[in-house]
Amino acid sequence: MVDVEEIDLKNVNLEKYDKKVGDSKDFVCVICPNSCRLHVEVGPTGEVDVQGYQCKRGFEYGIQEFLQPIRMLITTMKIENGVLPVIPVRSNKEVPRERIFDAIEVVNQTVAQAPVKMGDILVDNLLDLGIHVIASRDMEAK
Amino acid sequence: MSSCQIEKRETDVAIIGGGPAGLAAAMAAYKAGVKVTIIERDFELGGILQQCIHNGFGLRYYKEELTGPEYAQRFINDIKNTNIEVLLDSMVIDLTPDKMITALNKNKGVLKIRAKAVILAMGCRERTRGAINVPGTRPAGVFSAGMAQRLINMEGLLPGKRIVILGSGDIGLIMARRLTLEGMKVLCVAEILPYCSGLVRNKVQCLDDYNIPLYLGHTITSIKGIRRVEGVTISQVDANWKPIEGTQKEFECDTVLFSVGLIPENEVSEKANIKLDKTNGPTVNEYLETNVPGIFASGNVLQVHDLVDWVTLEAENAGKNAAEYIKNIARCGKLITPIKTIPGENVGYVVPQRIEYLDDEKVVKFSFRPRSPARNVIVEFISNGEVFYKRKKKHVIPSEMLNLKVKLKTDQLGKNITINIRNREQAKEDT
Ligand SMILES: Cc1cc2nc3c(=O)[nH]c(=O)nc-3n(C[C@H](O)[C@H](O)[C@H](O)COP(=O)(O)OP(=O)(O)OC[C@H]3O[C@@H](n4cnc5c(N)ncnc54)[C@H](O)[C@@H]3O)c2cc1C
Ligand code: SF4
Repeated sequence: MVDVEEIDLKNVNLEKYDKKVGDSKDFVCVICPNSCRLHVEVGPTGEVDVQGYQCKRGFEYGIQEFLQPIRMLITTMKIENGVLPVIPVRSNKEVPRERIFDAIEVVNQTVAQAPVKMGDILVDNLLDLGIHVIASRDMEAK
Repeated sequence: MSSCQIEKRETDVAIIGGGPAGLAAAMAAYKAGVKVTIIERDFELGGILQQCIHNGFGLRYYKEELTGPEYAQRFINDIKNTNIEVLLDSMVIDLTPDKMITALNKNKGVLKIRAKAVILAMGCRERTRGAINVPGTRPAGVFSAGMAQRLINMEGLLPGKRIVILGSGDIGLIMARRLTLEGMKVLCVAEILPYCSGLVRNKVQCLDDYNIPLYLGHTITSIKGIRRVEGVTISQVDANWKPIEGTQKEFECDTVLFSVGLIPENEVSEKANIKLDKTNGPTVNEYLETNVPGIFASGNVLQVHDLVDWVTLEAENAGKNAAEYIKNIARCGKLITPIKTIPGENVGYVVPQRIEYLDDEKVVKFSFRPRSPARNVIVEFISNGEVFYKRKKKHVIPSEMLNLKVKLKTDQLGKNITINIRNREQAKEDT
């Protein structure tokens, strides 16, 4: 994951993020309703530059979304013996967007056992990303 | 269960509905020291949040981003640590102006609950296909988006394989992603308005991420299939929302989801002679009290909210006011004629609809929505022909409710308060 607080924009490991000099992307910042239009570009010296943001959160979002978009994993998991047949789950941290379908597959292969408490870890170290899948609610046994 | 079994109960504050509004109202009334009973028709508390498994809840109230079930669970856990009475599987079927509630319980039969104050918190229901009138046959495979959400997220069932969604509200967008992640093919989202009615974030993360096309200014003009949906036709519409000949696009699909808006659920309220606004929510005063003294309303039953955080804050207010009503805490400055609030330029509705008490001055919280999106606007509160409060806004859209706390002073107010959302340049020219 990109550590946007620490990253040195003059010295980004472009290969790691599958980017090269001259690459650019235009997109809308979705952090607040202002919807600033961002332009992110890798300059001639390999420096990553963000334009169009109005605040720090937008700047950080721009870098993250350009180098490696991340999304929360939100889905349901089968549960045995629960008051409902499925339980809502989420990742405790955002997952790289390109791994979301793989992550869903892992969750679909897993079956939880009631009772479960909100926050219980249902998948440990998802796809070796160091991320957990946790229960979004309590689920009592039938 | 014998057919004429009737169980009688008494309470101070009865809350109809155990969604986020009911739960927050219950906690607030309980903290104010009165006896509280929640009556919920479902088998558990939490309301619609239990099916809204996505994140995006709680940023204002908890200052962190939670999923719907997590937000509900926090309140349910709080309620468990109190002696608030919770009646589940109990559907309220009648309410009288003197606050006698009749409910049907799965096991106990008829419950009669006598309350000193009532808080309406029944939420809203989805508009159906009937309400928007799409021509064509009536095959299976047509769902409201919320119904499909409940099927997938709570019952673990999938509605179909190839899907077309009508309506770009947040529920429609979120369902597009959810269905895609579950392996279904979402062919497109059609929206009759010229803009996406959901949040930009949801358009980006639910449609763009998965290359799902969004057709703006389009509607479904026919549904094919006899027993099961086999396909739909969408067409572009003109400025009067009439389909334009020659713009048809055909899609082969087995499922159509409608996400075309929500309406407050007020059948029970009407039984108690509660007056409804044109939004179908009860008209209330600044205490969130309906025209029947001691019956309050909050949450989606009052006005359809987009953020649950506002539901919570509104409901806490209703809970506290209901407790004060029971404790006979005096409200100062009863007006002989209430001051009416009037939705003016580019304003759809206003809550509260009237101010009933004003002694010198006080701060009142107003909620309202713009009718159409606008940039660089000024929100004006006008009475006696004078602007007595104004506030600049960079950006307003109908899907985001506006909430403003405004100080009201007797000497500034006439019979009415009109709220306008105006273009800033226009407003300048007029003065
Ligand atoms: C599909 C959907 C998606 C949403 N997504 C988001 C989002 O992403 N972020 C966000 O912040 N907000 C979202 N919202 C808004 C938010 O969830 C709602 O504003 C909030 O849940 C409203 O709370 P409520 O308590 O008023 O209604 P509800 O949650 O609907 O609760 C009403 C309760 O009353 C019960 N009830 C109704 N009638 C009776 C009766 N006669 N007797 C007994 N019980 C009764 C119902 O069973 C239900 O439990 C969404 C809303 C919907 C509908
Ligand atoms: S850059 Fe800042 S102000 Fe602009 S949309 Fe993003 S968060 Fe909002």
